[in-house]
Amino acid sequence: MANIMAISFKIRFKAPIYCIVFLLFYLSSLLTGCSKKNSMTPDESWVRVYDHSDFNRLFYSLDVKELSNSNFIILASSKMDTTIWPNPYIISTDKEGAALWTVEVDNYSSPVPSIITLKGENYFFCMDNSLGTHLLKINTDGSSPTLFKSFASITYPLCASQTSDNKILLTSYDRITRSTVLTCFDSNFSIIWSKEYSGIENYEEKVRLHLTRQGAYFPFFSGEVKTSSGGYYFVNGFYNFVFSLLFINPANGDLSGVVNGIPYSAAASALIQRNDSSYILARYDENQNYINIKPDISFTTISNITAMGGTSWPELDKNSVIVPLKTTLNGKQSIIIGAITRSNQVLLLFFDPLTGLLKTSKYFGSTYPVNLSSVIPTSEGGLAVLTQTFVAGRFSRIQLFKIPPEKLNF
Amino acid sequence: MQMKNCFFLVTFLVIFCMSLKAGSLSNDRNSFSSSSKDGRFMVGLKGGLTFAQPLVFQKFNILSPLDNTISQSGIKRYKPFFQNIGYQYAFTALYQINSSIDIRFEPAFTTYVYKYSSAYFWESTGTNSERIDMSIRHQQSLKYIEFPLTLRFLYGSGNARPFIQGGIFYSYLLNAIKSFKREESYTNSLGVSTLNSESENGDASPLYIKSRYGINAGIGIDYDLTSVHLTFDINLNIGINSVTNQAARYSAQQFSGGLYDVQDNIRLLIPSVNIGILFPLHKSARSKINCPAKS
Repeated sequence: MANIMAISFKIRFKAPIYCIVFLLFYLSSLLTGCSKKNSMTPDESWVRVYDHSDFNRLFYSLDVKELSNSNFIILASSKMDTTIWPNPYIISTDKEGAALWTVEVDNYSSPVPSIITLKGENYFFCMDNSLGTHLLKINTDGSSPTLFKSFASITYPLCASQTSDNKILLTSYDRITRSTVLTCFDSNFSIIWSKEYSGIENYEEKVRLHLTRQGAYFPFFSGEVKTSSGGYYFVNGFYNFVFSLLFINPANGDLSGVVNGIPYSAAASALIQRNDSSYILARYDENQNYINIKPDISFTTISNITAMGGTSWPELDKNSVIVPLKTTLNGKQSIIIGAITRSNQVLLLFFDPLTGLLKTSKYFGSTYPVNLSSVIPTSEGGLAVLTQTFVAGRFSRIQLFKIPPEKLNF
Repeated sequence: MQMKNCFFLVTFLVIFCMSLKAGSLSNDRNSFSSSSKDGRFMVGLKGGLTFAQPLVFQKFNILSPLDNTISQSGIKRYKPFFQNIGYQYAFTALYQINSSIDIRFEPAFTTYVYKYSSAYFWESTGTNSERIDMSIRHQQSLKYIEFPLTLRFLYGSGNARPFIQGGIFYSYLLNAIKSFKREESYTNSLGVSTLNSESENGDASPLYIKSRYGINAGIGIDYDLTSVHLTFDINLNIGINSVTNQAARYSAQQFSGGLYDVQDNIRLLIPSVNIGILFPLHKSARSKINCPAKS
């Protein structure tokens, strides 16, 4: 070692050596400096597919919530391919998306595709064998969900949503009166009012096939819109022989207006408030999908969905499920319209809420069929997207994407 | 293509500088150079085989099992280095500090290959025993332009002189290609059937960062044939940084969506076996012809 040191001192660094060293470091710094940001912690961006080895087991994704510790709770349903009704299935993941625990709820079926968060607790509606509705509270310790309330008179629960004043809207179907039923709950899940909107025709078979995933999937949804004179609740369901978009008086549930669909071919697929006076309406008509950023909707009269116009989106899948979301991304308010394309990708369209201008679009996933269930904002300012996918093109499984805010810059 | 131009530009500059230096020294050879057996500058070519060994320090997997029976589903199993054969070729510029020590700059085009496989299965729990197996063999080929700076210590005084060497390197990724072969089989009580077998490849460049750097060390032998030197060396190239682009791990949807494949955080350890040839630019006293004085 001493010899080496002595020799090294004898080295006479002349111009060529300087030249080589300089070129090396210059090139390194130049190339390194040009490279883009390439570090990202494992919890910032990921894709997870929750696989199960059972050949005959089917999974359906419903909704996802991010917890305060950045973990996720996924509400799904699962059944064997020989059974009819899927049971609620809950997956808890860590912040990197790895499954921590799962719970299957055997004594209930057909969970409604919405997790309702109230006072820090997460709830979901589901059904029993007598078609009655129950509200279960999700426990974050891995234990089976706890029964919170039961509503035996509400049958075939279909969808649920939360209003800005923490009321809960539950859409269901009454097989006796052949009606779509909208029930408004307060924040303690006590019924404020419940109204029926007659479908006249018997839709029980279609509702059952929709819930068991054995037939056509209908875009049941509900929510609220604000107007200068107040506001309305809306519900998409069977009414007066067709699948229609109904506008409801929030005070008592009375029907105030309706946008009629066309039997089996045209209906609304999403509605979201864009700003104080404008909305975004998505609809399908004869296998094509349309998005109107400024629909001329009357909340107090009868109109027709085919007159709602909008831009055609031929890349969207036939009668695509549309998931709307209003959130803030990188400091900018955005309306996100999530959909599935004909090439099996999740398409997220980002609209400016003020002007309705389409700012950008993002595509996720490929190859295998995928069904969109939920798009939620994450605490980091990005998005989480819940889908159902078909592993190896065969086995229906749950898939969750976490998209960091850096990838949503536009 | 732009990087190749850059490479040739750098190579040209190095040769040019060394030639200038050689010219300036040729007139004032001191006692050091006169004791040297050869000229102080040599250029040459080198080539060999590389054997890549990925060192995984954080694993990533898209599939998250919900039941314990598939806890190994999709886990990558890396092939050992002797199955990951690539190649490299280099230009050598050597500056001989004294008869025992020289310093070498060897810009090289390298192709590192590493392979892994993953397996998945699904089986029925009913009376009909059915099972589907899916196995995927992955091969990643990473092409770099590499700039190593190496100090070499030679032993002995004969024509064949063993040496040890060590140094630093910087590599810049030119491109990365991923190829894979997926095979699916169906098994039931009647036997096994092949469902699907397909091979594809695609651009995997976004999955890797551009820069790779580290240290190298090796041993070899230098054979002096007077007009040229032949070298044989075994070198170990040790990457210090992760080559995985963590921000783009899930960006190649062809692989993440179709194969459930994302890259682990890896460093590359590259043993290589090389042969080379060196041409002295200026011959020493041994090669000079001593003409008898005229009477």
